[in-house]
Amino acid sequence: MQCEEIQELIYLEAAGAADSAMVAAIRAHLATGCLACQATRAEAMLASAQLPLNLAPCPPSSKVKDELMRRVKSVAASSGAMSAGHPQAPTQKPTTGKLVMWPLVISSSIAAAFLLIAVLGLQTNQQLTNKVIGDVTTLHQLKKSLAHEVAQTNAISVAMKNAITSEHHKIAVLKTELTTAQGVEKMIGSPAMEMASLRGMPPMHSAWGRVMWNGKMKMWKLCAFNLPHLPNSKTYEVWMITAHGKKMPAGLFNTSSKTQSVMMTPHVPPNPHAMAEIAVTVEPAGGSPQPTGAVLLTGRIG
Amino acid sequence: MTLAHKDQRNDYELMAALARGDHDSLFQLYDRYSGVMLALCRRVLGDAAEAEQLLLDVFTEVWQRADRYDDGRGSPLTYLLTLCRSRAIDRCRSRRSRQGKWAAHETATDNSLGNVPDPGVTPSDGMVLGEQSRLVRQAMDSLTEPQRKVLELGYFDGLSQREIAEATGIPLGTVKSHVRMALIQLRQKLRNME
Repeated sequence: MQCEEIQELIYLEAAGAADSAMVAAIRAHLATGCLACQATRAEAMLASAQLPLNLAPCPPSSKVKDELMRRVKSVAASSGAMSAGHPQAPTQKPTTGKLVMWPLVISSSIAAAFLLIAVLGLQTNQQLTNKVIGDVTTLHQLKKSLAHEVAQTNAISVAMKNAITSEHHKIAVLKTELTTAQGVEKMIGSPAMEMASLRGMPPMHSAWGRVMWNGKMKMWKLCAFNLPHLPNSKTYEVWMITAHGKKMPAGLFNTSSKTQSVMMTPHVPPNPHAMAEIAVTVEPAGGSPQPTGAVLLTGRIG
Repeated sequence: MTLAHKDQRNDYELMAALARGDHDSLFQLYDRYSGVMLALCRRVLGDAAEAEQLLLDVFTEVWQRADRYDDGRGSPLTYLLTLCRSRAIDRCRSRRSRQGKWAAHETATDNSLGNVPDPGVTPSDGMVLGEQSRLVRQAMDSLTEPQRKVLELGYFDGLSQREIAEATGIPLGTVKSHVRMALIQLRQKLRNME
């Protein structure tokens, strides 16, 4: 039978106007899994089920509810009696039915089954609840442990980042030193390299130094030894002095506290050939436009 | 077909509690729907005392077989009304077979021609079905008279399509189309009620 014909029967069934053969045909068709006809039947049944709402409600007499209460209590009581091992406990006679005992036995069995299902259901629920609580506790512990590990990893990460930054800084310093060393090597290795000695002046008799320059490469280097490390409030200042005695500031430095020595690059004025002398004084931090301290190192470069 | 009940469990919760053996749920459902269920019993059986007896038996069955209810197939009210109608039709057919088919049928047919309640029936002010009933009444009013008639003869009086055709003089094919069109129209009008 086609869906269209079945749906015709479905509407009759929903309206209560189908005979048993029609109902059987509908069931056989639905058993094939026809979703369209299943949907049609559900819709039709819902529509017809609302027809009683067109009727004005009739409040039943109070005796109906009283009797219903009596039946419910009777079933519950007989169920309790049966479960307590008193199968022949006195029961009230049912108001309908031809057999006296069977309804009671069936009712009691159903009630007992309900009770058993309820108890089993409660036990199952309790077991499920315990399992869920256990799982949640485990998850909390796992979360705590993971959080600790994440914190540790973060700390390690920060430490590693700091170490890497420090290493980068060291590398940068080394690169600078290497560049300087390469520059110096290049400067020294060149035939254009010139050099002058610097001698210590009282009270720094032991101080000495060298100044090297390469006119072609326009590179200057000054090395100083045995000069004490100065406090932050003071600095050594290099002066280029012309033949006419004009003193031009050429850079600041401090010596290493360990070696009391330094190698620095003086700022050479635009006309280095005019320079006749180089000198080093101690000045306030930041340097001075003209020397204020005594000359500690000096040498001729002209 | 669900109803909102202020400060109370809904019908689905009541049916679930009922399946766990909660007496109070049964009486809650009784208080909500016994009025419309009794109206249905009276409409089908045409006898007030028998209708009350049937109502009692149906609620007893609901109590004893609460596990039968499948919420995937409709609301609790739909379930209660369907069960009520089915038991009422069974009882009516049984009575017909005892008394002679058409004696009861004629009485039922007379009753089915209108939806006016029995004169002795007093609508309960406390019933919560007022709005739903109003919508159903509106939907029923939108049907043509023959559509409404064939629907009521089938649903409330349990007549087969052939019996409806004989009782009304409407051709069999037309009975079928009236039933189909009436139900489709009702469903469309009441779609928002579920």
